[in-house]
Amino acid sequence: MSKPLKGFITYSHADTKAKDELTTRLAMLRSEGMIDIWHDNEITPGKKWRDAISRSLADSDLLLYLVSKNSLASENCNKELAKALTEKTRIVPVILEDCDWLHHELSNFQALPDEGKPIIKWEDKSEGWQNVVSGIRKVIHEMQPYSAGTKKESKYYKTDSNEFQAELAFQYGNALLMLGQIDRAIEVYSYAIERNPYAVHIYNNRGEAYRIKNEIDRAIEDYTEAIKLDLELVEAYNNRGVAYRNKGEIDKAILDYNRAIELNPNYAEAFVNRGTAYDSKGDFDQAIANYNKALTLNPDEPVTYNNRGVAYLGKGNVKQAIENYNKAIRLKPDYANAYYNRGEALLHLSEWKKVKVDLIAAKDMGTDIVAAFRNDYKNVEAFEKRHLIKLPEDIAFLLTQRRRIRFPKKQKAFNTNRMPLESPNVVNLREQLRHAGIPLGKYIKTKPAFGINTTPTEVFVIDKTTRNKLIADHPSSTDILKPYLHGKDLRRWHVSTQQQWLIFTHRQIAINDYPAILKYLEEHRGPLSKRKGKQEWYELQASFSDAERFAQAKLVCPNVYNHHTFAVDTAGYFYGNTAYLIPTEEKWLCGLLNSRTVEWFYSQVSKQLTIDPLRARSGYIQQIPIPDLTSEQKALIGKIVDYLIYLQQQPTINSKDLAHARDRIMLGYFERIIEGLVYEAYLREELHASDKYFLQPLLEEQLPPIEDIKGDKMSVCRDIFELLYERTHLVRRNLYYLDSVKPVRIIEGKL
Amino acid sequence: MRITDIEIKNFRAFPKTYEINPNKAGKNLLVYGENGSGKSSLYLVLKYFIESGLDINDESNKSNDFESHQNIFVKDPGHIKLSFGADPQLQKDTYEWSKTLIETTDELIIETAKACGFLDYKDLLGVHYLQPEGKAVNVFDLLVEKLLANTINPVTARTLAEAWNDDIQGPYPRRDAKHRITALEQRIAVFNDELANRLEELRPKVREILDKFGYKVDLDLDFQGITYNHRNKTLDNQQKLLNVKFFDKDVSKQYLLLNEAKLSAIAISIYLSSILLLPEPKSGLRILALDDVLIGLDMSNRFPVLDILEDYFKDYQIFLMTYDKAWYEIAKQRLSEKNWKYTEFYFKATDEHELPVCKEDTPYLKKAEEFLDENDYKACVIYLRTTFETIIKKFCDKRNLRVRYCENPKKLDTNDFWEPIKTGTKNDGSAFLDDQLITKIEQYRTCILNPLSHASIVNVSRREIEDTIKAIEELEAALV
Repeated sequence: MSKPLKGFITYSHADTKAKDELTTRLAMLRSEGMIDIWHDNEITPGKKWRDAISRSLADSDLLLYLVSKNSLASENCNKELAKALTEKTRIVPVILEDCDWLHHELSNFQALPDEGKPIIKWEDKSEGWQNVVSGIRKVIHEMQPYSAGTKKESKYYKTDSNEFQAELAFQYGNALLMLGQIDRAIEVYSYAIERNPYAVHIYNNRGEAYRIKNEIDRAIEDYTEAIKLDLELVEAYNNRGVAYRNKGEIDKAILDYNRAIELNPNYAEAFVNRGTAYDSKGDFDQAIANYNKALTLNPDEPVTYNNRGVAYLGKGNVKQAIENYNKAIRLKPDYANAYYNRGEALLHLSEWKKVKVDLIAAKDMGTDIVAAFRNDYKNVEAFEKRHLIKLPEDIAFLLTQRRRIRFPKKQKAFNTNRMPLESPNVVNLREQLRHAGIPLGKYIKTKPAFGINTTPTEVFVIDKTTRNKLIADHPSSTDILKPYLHGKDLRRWHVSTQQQWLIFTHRQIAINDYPAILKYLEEHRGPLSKRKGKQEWYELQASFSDAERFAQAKLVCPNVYNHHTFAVDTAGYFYGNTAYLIPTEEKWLCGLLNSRTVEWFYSQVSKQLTIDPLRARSGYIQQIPIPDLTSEQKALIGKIVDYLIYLQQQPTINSKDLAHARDRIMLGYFERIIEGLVYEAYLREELHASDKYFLQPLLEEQLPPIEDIKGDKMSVCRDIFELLYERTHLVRRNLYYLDSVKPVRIIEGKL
Repeated sequence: MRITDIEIKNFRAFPKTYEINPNKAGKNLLVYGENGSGKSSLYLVLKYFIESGLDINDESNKSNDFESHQNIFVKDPGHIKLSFGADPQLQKDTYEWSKTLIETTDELIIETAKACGFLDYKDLLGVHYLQPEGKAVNVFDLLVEKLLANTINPVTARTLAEAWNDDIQGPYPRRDAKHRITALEQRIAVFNDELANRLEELRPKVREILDKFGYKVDLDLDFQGITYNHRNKTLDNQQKLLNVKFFDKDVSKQYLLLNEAKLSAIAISIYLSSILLLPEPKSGLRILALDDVLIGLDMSNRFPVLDILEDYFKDYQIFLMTYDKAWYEIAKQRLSEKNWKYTEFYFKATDEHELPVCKEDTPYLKKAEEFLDENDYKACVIYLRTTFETIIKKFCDKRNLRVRYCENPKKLDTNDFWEPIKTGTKNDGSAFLDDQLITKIEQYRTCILNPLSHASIVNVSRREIEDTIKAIEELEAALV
């Protein structure tokens, strides 16, 4: 027999008793030398808790997760789980009590006791525990042959059979999928499919991953492949149906649900989905019949009640609708969409107080009630006209789109379950753009990242007076006082100094070389030492290598912004974590990233579709496709970016004096030119089919690089602007009529 | 490229199916119509059709919803179809707009929509409410909400009206919401820049066009920029936003105060200038439709408009609508038949519904021939007489021949025009007409071209009429 497997128990301290019970019952296995159990009680005093956990987890083979409402809510438990998933540790959930684990990542693992029946539900608890123990024994037996030697290799690479490797990769892919590392999961699934092209379930799960990523066409391809291999794969039909529905192809979706139900007449989910599909077709009776069937199969599903309510409301049966919503809310008290729906139904009964309570509840839980209402009725006036009900002012106000509408205006539609339903136009264009180039993350060599944590910022970031004083006190201070910008200081194109400096006391700094700084920091020792982390009290949470990161040429943008706001920083500013840095010397990328096309793509893939400000999310920014342009074309965009950087610094552009309005129009016009160039880069065929060219006519103009312009650069810029702005110039004409091209209309929110 | 056919079914005033053909060659169309005859519906047919594809997400776009324009008397779903063709010989493309089919999102229509001008009398009504203060008047609302509403900002690609309505109108942020106030002020700054720049761009063109009206004035569009008053939550500076100032070089012409006619002329000039500044679309199709916009002008100011149309809008397909019959007749004389087609709309009440009737205005002589073919001699003779009158009146007008003065022009009879032609001579001393033709005309004048012929019983032979037609044709040729 090989050496014992290492086991790890994840549990909430509230469940310590249960843990003790389990370890006692595992005694037999331990004595047999099959398993060696570790849990965090065994940390020897003085050892650093986190390090210990992390190390033990890293070489565990098996993780037993004691599932209770407490452990699900515990941050530590979930961290341990995440760690285990990345380490490819085998995971076994042990269900202690009723809780929402089915909606947790854990639901994807074979749970114990059998069928997930919680320990406390067993009449004889010890019988329950025994079930768990024998389950664990089975698992260990399964694992035993492969656990010898170093775990990872054996699990993933060393076994010879392709099928086995595929299976392992499949498991690993599932874990990644749960962790939300979709791209990585797809890679692993693809590897698995390479090993075993006949493994149906891998196609199905890769399809699922694509669907989550919103690459609907690929998802459908995978489901279809799965179905080809196994004509009776019920889930694949159901999933493909969902994908078709997302694409707006309702009839195809219904066919798939039909097939799924034919194969498994007890498949509640398929009934619900078919009901939803009928609902979107306006066939409410069919929809209700489907929901009824689903409820006989699975009586406590709040979603089904909610959807049935929607169908009843569609039929005009308000009271029935409200009853259904009530039931849904009773089953799931934080069901935001059900609140909105109930509020909407109550509108018809003019029960204004209740309406208001429900709408506000839905709104607070994060439903975009304005968009939802718009999706159903267009606007308040249309609703009033259609139903001959006058809404009270406060409710009308709640349901009214605020004046300013984020661009792109409204591409939000909702399906009956109030999940955003995207129009096929949008989905297809997004996928087209995605494949129009290689992802930014791969295009640039160094990884982009946020700036450093500067808390407490009011201590580490100082103004000019303080800086001068520190330097006067001791000249060495100059070396570690770095020009600094907050994310909120950033504008498009050009970064300009805000007269503030960062005290860059990186880790392992020889602080005594900087007496003035030390003295200054000493005054703020209170807040400084309150910080968490391993750094010394006077240190920033940054290493010396961060200085290099800031010193190189980069593009920067704030972490929260209304429109894409990238600027070129070649001056080596330092940034806090309110700014996002893309290390690159290619200025033209700045033009690309600030374009509407990229903003649209980004907001689509990162699902930030409301009017709220956008947030920089590294994973999604790295997905931005970089189109393949010639170096000449890149240089052209770069040249215009340089113009913009120059213009951005000019006093007439920064004033509000209307006498200089045309200078500001000039700046905007150059931005618009970049817009046109970027459209052409991404949508070459479409633009050319409609005779819209930007790259060629602009290359022919042979614009001078800004640094080559001698003398009054501003007046040369104005001349260039007037030339390109002339109403007969091709660039002007093509820009003016740009939005007659269909994908451009989609991006600009007009289609 | 031009519009060659318009087919309207069950839309607004048009029950049943109508076809209006600006001729196979895509001519300009001059339309006369009584009130309620469907003339304005034709204007709206064009406007809504062309704009319907522009922004199908925008609820304020009236062109979005075909259904709301359905003729109220007819349940049967309607449609509008427009055909476009570059050359009468070549194939033409037809696009449909109806509840079920929207083909107007095609590139051609969208580019046309962005290159065309639609102005109707309602847009100019604002002129009547303007209160001139001395030599200045606030035309801000008129500009932003009507005349320049659809001009597109070259930077944001949005219209001025969108910026005004979506970005700047309330509800305004709370007084302590600094970020939102800053954002609002930024949007106002963008709007100010755009409007200031737009006015600056327009200025030379407006002056040029106003010059055609005979107003020797310098127009100063003086825009100070609106500002946001966060204390009162209002927009300031809007009241004294735009001052139209007349700087007349000739002091004696102080009578040039701002009356409605002049304000109308200014408004029209601004609108037309804004259209002229647009880049030309690839198709070359640009449309200008003016529905009764000249009613605020007296006759003397209407002729310049026709000149402006002929001088500046040669490449446009123009649709000119009016309810003023007299003006229609005059414009017909003035606008060359080569480029223009004339159509009249009449209103006919039937048992079922109100029915507009449109009839194409073919030349009178041709109509006379048509009636002859139908053996309706009486109608034929009336048209012959009208042709005769038109020819001689036009000739007298052209040659500045001396005609008897008469306070009521209706009392003038054909003789008053005929005599000067008969006796008159060209510059070289030769007579306008040879004696043989004069004899022929005189012969038929007594029996067929007699002004009272329509009242008396017509008792003429077909042969006689045919001869008369020949004579009239000869006369027309001689008096070119």
